[in-house]
Amino acid sequence: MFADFRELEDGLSLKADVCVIGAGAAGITIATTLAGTPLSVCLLESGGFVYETATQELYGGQTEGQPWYDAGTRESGGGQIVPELIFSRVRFFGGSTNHWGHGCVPLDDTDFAVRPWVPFSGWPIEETDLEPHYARALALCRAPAADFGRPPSDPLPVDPTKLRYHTGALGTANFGTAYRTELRRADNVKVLLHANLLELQANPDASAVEKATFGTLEGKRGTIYARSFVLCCGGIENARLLLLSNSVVGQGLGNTRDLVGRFFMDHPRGECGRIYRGHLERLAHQALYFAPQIERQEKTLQAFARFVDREVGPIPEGIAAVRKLEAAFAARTRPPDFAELIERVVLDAGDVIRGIYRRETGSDPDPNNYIEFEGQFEQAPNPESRVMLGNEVDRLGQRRTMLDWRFTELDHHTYRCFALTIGAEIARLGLGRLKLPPWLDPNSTEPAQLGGCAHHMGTTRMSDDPSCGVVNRNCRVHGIANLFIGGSSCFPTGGCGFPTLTLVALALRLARYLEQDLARAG
Amino acid sequence: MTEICNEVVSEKSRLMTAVQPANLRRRTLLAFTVAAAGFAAATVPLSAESVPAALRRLFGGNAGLREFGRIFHARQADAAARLLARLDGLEGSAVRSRVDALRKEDFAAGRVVVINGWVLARTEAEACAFIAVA
Ligand SMILES: Cc1cc2nc3c(=O)[nH]c(=O)nc-3n(C[C@H](O)[C@H](O)[C@H](O)COP(=O)(O)OP(=O)(O)OC[C@H]3O[C@@H](n4cnc5c(N)ncnc54)[C@H](O)[C@@H]3O)c2cc1C
Repeated sequence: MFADFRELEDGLSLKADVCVIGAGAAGITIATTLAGTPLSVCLLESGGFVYETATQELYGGQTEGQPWYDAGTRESGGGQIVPELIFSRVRFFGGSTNHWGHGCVPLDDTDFAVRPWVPFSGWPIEETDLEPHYARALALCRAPAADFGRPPSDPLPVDPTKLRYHTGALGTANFGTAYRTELRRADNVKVLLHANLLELQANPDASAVEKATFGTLEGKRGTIYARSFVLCCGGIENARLLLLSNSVVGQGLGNTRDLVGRFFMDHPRGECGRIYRGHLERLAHQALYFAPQIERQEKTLQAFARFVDREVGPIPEGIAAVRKLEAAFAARTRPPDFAELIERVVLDAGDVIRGIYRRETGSDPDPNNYIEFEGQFEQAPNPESRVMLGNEVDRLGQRRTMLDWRFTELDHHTYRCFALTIGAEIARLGLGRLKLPPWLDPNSTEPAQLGGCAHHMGTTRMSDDPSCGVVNRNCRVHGIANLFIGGSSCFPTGGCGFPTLTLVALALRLARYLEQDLARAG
Repeated sequence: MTEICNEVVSEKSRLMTAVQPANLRRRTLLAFTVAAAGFAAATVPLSAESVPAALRRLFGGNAGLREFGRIFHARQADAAARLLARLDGLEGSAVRSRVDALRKEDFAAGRVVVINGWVLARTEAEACAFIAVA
């Protein structure tokens, strides 16, 4: 069932077996999994069912480091400059799945293993621990079951020791709308909207969370007591809320080792070069990943490449018709508008002849006509890349986020190595010639011109060793008996693909663990 | 003419001192001596025209190739000599096919260099260096 805290009394006091905070992909997964069990569940959500500027504004913060997250570097409509931190996540029921790109891809076994050349790599769990949950996670994301290693229908004869295929699947679920009815019908689940977590309050020796306080923007305050608390507010906010929960432990809950907020990662992504004289038909739709063999040999992180047509300006009618005809002939079909296409080719003969000449002679290093090679990378876990509390406060009186996103030399080494590998393979296969941007030149000292993907990870990383991680293998905060974290903030490393499918699988595993744990405790 | 040829020979001799073994050096030097006697076109194995026209245009024409070559020569003074050693004894179209095979081998082995942002096979860079110093 749903309730809106703005319509309830101030000083509300609630009780539940499990209090889940944050109704995004992780929180909704846990709540729907626990629906219909004997446990009572309360799901606190900051927003309502639709976007509200004042609520979204609570996500604002200050940034240092990479430009993508710098306040003021991105322009929004009307020439207004807005801080990117606000828009790399969404703060209402459904969370960032309200406008995610639906890309789904699982991590694979190399992600979970320790790679000696990647400091802080290795998960305390294995792929087999998540494997049983991936099928259900795909179903929750409403993505088709897929063979993720399957090459496309027209694979390139790439050297398999260097590049490999690893396709993703596209989900369709926006968690906020997809599971609303299910949650409305669940007798044991109460969803409280417009309820912003203010603090998780621990008992005097900080061995357990006693209660959580929450409030509306209008000033109402409430308290919830629960046997277990699960923080699911996203990869940045999970860390911020632990740091803000500091009335018992000054440095924040779970932060006795100064690890909360550190190891912030995203998937750095951006243009890594331009391919001239490239064969777009062969390169489009190819998602090429670094092969594990070359990662080991060159001691790199993971990476993947996409190829995007950057033809600037309108395409002449005749050329568009030639392309349609070529595609149809390649597929051994006859287009239904065959006669019309031929007519357009004839009428636009000038453009067609010039185009064919340019293509056949390769005489077109036109700077406006190229295929963009876009790289997306795993980020090296780095304790200096971190979420902290800034000095500004939000409307709830809480200190805002300060994000310092940083790359290491291993990241830069990976970008260069991957770009050279792609450049060499494409040239070897006769599919074009790659020109790197100046920052990727091997002798350049320019910072990487890459942005993020809004895939926030690592800030409450998982490790069996409390000196190396914030949560244990069951996503429980070290040293705190009943505090759990859901989401990609638990990832020690994040691969180079998409995090949501894995965080949903991890949330499913956590929900099952909570069910069993609380049943055991009686 | 003789003066120009002598200059070419002395440049080549300088380059070739970097190349082992000695008998190979002798044979190549012989080729250049013949060149000095007026048969330059027949014996100097590479020129900008050895690079496929489309690539040449892409890289900024003959001037572009020479610029690549100067840059690479400044980085690796023995670049042209290394390539010459691998082309020793070849003539005419055989040179071009060998260069083509070598650049493919380079790409396959990941032996690439970056000049002005372009990812080139090492052989391509060496050929540019040769063109630049020739
Ligand atoms: C533009 C964009 C495109 C993306 N594309 C992809 C993609 O293609 N594939 C992919 O895998 N991932 C993608 N992502 C990332 C994906 O959206 C996130 O990985 C996923 O939503 C994270 O789930 P979560 O539950 O951890 O956090 P969120 O979905 O962010 O949910 C957090 C929830 O917590 C609530 N909350 C925050 N603070 C409080 C508080 N104090 N009290 C109560 N509630 C609070 C928020 O309102 C929100 O509902 C994309 C993200 C963006 C922004």
